[in-house]
Amino acid sequence: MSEEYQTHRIWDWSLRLFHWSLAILIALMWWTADQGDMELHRKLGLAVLGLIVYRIFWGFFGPSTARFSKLPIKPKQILGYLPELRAETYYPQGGHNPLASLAVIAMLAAVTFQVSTGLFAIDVDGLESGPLARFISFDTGRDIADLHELSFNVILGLIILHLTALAYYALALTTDLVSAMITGKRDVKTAHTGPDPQAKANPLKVLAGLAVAGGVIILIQTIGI
Amino acid sequence: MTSKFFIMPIACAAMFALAACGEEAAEAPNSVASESAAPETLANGMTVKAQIEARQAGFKELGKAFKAISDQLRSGNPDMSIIQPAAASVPEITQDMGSWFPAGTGPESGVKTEALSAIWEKPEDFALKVGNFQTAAAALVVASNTGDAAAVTAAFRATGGTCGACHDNFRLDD
Repeated sequence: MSEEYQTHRIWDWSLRLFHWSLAILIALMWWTADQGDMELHRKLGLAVLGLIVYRIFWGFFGPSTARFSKLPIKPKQILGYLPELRAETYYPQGGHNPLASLAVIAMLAAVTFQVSTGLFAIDVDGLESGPLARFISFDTGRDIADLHELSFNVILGLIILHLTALAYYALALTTDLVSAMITGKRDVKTAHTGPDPQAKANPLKVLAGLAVAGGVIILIQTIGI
Repeated sequence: MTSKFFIMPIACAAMFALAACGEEAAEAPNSVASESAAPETLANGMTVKAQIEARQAGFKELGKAFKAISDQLRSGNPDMSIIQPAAASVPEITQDMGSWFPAGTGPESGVKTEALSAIWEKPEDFALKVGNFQTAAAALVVASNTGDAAAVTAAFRATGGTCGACHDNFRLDD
């Protein structure tokens, strides 16, 4: 490692746990839907909802690399980043880069939409439905189910984009983003360190986030079925 | 589960192949069919499109009744005054279900339908599946009249099972 680099913890443990839990749950959500196991699909869907609520909470109260307000998404930052995506000019960022920030926003929005429509979706036979479907008519629930099915393609597209980006960073830029998401650590150029070089998960804030996420799940289970 | 995972795509491929065969076969014997003079009109006087839309409306009514029952059963405190009329409507909606699928109203008609050609290729099996559903639906009415939530749940599950048993082979995707 050259002297101008130092190892930073850019992803706190709760963010990493969120990331891998979401990845596994999305695969399981697809699997249960494909198999028609709607009982499990409903239960896991609530877990996805909890994860999303936690991540949104973390986007406001987590360390700087997790915060929405710190995402570099100004047009100037995005345009300025594009020319750096070559091996000669690339340097690892101390958090989400501008394109990754856009991907984070798109993925969170897509999964939020997916979970929200799932709460109200009704299957074609009227036999299966999301926990809040009893508040709406069969026809509306069917329309929402159609959206639920269509919008999953958006998530699939984002996953493909995500994996393509990982491959590009690994092959063209020799940067291993996967390890960073496992260990949380990355070698960052001293000149380009983020505002918080050691992303830490404050245990009290983690508990608060879990409480909010759990509260939303309990609320849905209480008013829904 | 694993074996089902592998069988499903093969089964789907086979269904598509069957559907494609059905289309080809349907074109050839068109001259023999009674509706050859006016291919859009069925023996019962309805157009193909009207027949398909009518059965889709029937299934939609059925879906609404099932949703009403399902909502109550899953609420933990089922309201029998909602379940009973919904259950009673199921045989009313579907008593003539056997006639919802006259020949010529399959995928070869060109009208958007999820009905597979298998319905007309295996008419005995299809009739059996419809009959199983109607038997289960009648039992659901009996169960709902007892007012016993456990009995309704069991009968509703059995009825739903007969829906799935038919849809597995005779309806697109699922």
